[in-house]
Amino acid sequence: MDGKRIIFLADMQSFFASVEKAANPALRDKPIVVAGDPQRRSGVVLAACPLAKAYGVTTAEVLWKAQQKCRDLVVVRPRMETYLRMSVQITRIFEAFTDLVEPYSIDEQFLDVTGSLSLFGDPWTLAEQIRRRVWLETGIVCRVGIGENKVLAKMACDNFAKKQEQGIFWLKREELPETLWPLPIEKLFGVGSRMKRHFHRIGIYRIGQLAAASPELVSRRWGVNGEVLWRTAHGLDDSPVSPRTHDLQKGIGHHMTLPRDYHTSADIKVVLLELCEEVCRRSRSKQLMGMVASVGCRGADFEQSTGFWRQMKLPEPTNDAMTLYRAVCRLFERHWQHTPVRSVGVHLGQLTPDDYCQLSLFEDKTRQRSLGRTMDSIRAKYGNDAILRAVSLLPAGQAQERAAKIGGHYK
Amino acid sequence: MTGGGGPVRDGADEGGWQELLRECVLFGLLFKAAVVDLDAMQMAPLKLSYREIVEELSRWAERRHYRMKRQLRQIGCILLTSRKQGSCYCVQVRLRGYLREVVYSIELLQAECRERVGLWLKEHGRNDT
Repeated sequence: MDGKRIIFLADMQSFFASVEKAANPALRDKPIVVAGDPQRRSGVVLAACPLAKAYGVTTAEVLWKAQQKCRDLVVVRPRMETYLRMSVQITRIFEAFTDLVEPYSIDEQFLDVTGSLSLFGDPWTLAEQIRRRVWLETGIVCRVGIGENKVLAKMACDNFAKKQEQGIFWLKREELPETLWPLPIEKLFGVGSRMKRHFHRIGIYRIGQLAAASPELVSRRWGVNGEVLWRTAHGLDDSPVSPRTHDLQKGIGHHMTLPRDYHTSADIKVVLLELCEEVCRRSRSKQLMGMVASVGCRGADFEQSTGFWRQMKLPEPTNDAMTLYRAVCRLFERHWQHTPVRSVGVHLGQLTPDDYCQLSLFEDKTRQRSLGRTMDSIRAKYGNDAILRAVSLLPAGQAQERAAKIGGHYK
Repeated sequence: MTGGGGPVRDGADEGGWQELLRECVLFGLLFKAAVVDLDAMQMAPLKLSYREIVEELSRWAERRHYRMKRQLRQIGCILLTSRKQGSCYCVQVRLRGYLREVVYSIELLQAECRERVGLWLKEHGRNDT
């Protein structure tokens, strides 16, 4: 294989919907979507099965629009715990073929199978074996993109394998002019709607045009990001498949989409406090403290960017909710333009171990730490909503409802 | 231990034992589940007795299970252990000397068992007409 790596990107087809169909034979011939709570935020399609997609239903679409497109649509409530367990089971299947498995998302995983080919055969045969095992053991259809690096494998899967009956595609660097370069620029890995508009402004509409462009021009215009995209267009990527990539925690954050627009500072601060509690709880559980506090918010119209994201360095590392909250409030008051807020997030960065702490003459740090740990043990024993700040009981509070969910969706 | 390993085989050969094993596991679970449910039904105050129906289902599933087990042995696949691990059902087999593990989703197995019961009802219905 010329010393080249062989990397797979395995993607589960309509993952949430496929899990539901596998669990319930009555749904197998019906168009189904897994959708969020219709009572809040009017419900959004989290996953649509191929039968539903044939009617034009798309992921992230508002549920009522999807129901208009397909009158016989069956709506299934999400079960996030089940999907997480299924994802872990699929990782276990992949680990039977190689030890280099890196989860990219809940339904996509990279596999470096370079060292496994002598055991299992050529890449195509190996991909078919993997697909067969995943189907037989979980009932889920898996598509596999093959490439000599992660970006080629990802683009092979997204642009080709998903569109083919076989569900497998090998994207080779020497074939890029015929396969990848004719595609629209937004099909390039790393190009979203905003970058697409930037490229269109300078006349780049196809991936081949970016590949033909001068790398100096692209770097001068967009810096290192431009260089990365140019290299991606040429199928160049040296990043390893790293099973331990998520072990190193660079930051801990929480983001929340609210059920309605929040207009007043008092309401938004209730949610900010809840987010600070959650961020600090997770930090304490990993025995970490953070030095950089960030806060951001956004309006309901994602096309028109209202809102901000700002950060500040704290005088000392912390994992105390009220300390973080005071910093977050300072940032929020300074930068909020009094526009309606629909989405809000808090992040703690520059993490360090929390096994030491600088004492203060003005605050009882020992008591603060003890209080935090006590609240954590109460929540661990009796549930996340066993103990709450009083403000969470106000109408603006979301903590009670979110305690029963994972990532804002039903467990 | 290898999960999908062993000497390279062509696709058809590699896949055949996996499908057969899955069916064998399914019918094995089905006949055991039917016996357990029969015991549970004894406790419930029912108007009619369904004992014969469930016993017939269990016998049918058991026959299929052992038939498939023989077919697996003929192709060199021996069922070693099967046990529940959390939300998964793990089956270990020895295939032509190599130890392999297959991990099924319990939800999928339950759904497929329901399908097999439906299949049995259809066969039964056809025999009656």
